[in-house]
Amino acid sequence: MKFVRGHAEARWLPSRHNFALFRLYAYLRLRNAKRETRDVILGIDRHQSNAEAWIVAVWTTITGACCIAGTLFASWPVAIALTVAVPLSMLGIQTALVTSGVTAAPLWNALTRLRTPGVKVNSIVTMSAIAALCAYSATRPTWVRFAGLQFFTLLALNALAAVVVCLLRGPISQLETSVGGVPSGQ
Amino acid sequence: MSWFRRFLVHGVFWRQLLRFGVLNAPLWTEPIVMAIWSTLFLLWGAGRRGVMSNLTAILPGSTPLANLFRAWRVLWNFAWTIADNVRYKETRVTPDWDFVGIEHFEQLESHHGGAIILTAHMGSYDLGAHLFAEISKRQIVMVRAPETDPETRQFEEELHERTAADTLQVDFNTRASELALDLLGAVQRGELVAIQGDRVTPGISTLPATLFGKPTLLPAGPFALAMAARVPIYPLFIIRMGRRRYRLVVGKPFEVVRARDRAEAFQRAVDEWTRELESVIRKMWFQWFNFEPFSQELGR
Repeated sequence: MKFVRGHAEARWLPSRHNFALFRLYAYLRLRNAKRETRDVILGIDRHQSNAEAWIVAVWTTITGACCIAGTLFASWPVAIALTVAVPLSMLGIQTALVTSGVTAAPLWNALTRLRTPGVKVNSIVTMSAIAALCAYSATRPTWVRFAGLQFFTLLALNALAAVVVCLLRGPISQLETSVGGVPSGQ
Repeated sequence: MSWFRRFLVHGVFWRQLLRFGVLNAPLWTEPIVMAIWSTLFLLWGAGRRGVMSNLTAILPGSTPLANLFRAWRVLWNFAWTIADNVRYKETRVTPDWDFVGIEHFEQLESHHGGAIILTAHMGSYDLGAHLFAEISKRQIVMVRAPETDPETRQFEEELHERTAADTLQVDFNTRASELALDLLGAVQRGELVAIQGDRVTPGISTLPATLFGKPTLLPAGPFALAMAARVPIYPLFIIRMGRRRYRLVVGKPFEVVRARDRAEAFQRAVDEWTRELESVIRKMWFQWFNFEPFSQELGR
């Protein structure tokens, strides 16, 4: 069990974040954070960040909803189309997740024998499904192309952040260790 | 038709599905999955009605429509809590914790000799016991109601055997008299015994109490044990504060003082406990996972 006890500023440990953009932001916050001695126990896991989980969940749901509204319900008034598309987007993500969980993840592990965690395989598969939807939307001549384009813009920004995080991995590990955390990647 | 049992409310299928979800859902899909499943849980009529009738007593004057939405909030918290519990057991990922009543918590950590941790079906009591066992390195015996479905019971026991900390032992309150002796032995050896004191299961001895102005029955076991072993009772609640965030609330310890009139001594202790329980549930009604009416008056 990995945790930090007594350091509230450890909530900004990059190793508590998953996507590179959030890791980079967490690093910048932690670098400028003051020591906060409080009675807390903070778990260390790359999926621990509350804000990250919510932001990405809302972003993917709304992106999916825009793509559905702008393609399947293109002839409907936008407000009605979006209202119907939000629950459909949520159900779509859930369906993709279950389908990937029972097919892609076991198949990947059977073929590669890498024992990759299901969470990782399903994250890639589900995100790829959204990317495919966005790629199609980006080719449409209507407003929905912006929904597709913003997805790829953020994806590109995240890739850029990943390069920066990789270059900074030494200072990041040092800073994480100094607040009692576990260096990223461990 | 026995294959069908696994799909009933207490069937093993739902535990297996939960485990599958925990091991397969990426972080950014968690809120979406939880929202869908909390809504589906509302279809569980008996549980929904139980929560709604309890809410009428906890929040007097509340309307059925508002309580329907509140019931959804209870189920939303329940879904996150059971997922966090399985995640901890399967992957040893602990949520974040903060404390209220840290002085009592530290007193409990450093307390020499046995004690009783009296808790309720709030947040993740299971997770709390695991955490406490890990950080305090003290031996804890956790008493819990057994699963009614045999397959589910087997699934839970296997999961526990595979994942429990060495310092945590779980006992099921099926064999009342035998268990009472085991627990007495445990507290006399200086171990901590964690018991839920807000709900009774059939076949166990009870004490009358009043909760939110309604007559109810609470388990007599923790109070009798505290009196027999002369150990303090620590009220302790685990409150879910958000995604992977919990608060551990520890109340002031109290004792069940031996007196000539046993009934009066028990009554004083039960009153102390219900006061604590009411104050926590009133503020955190959306965390009380009691899916049956707590008083017969509410069940009518």
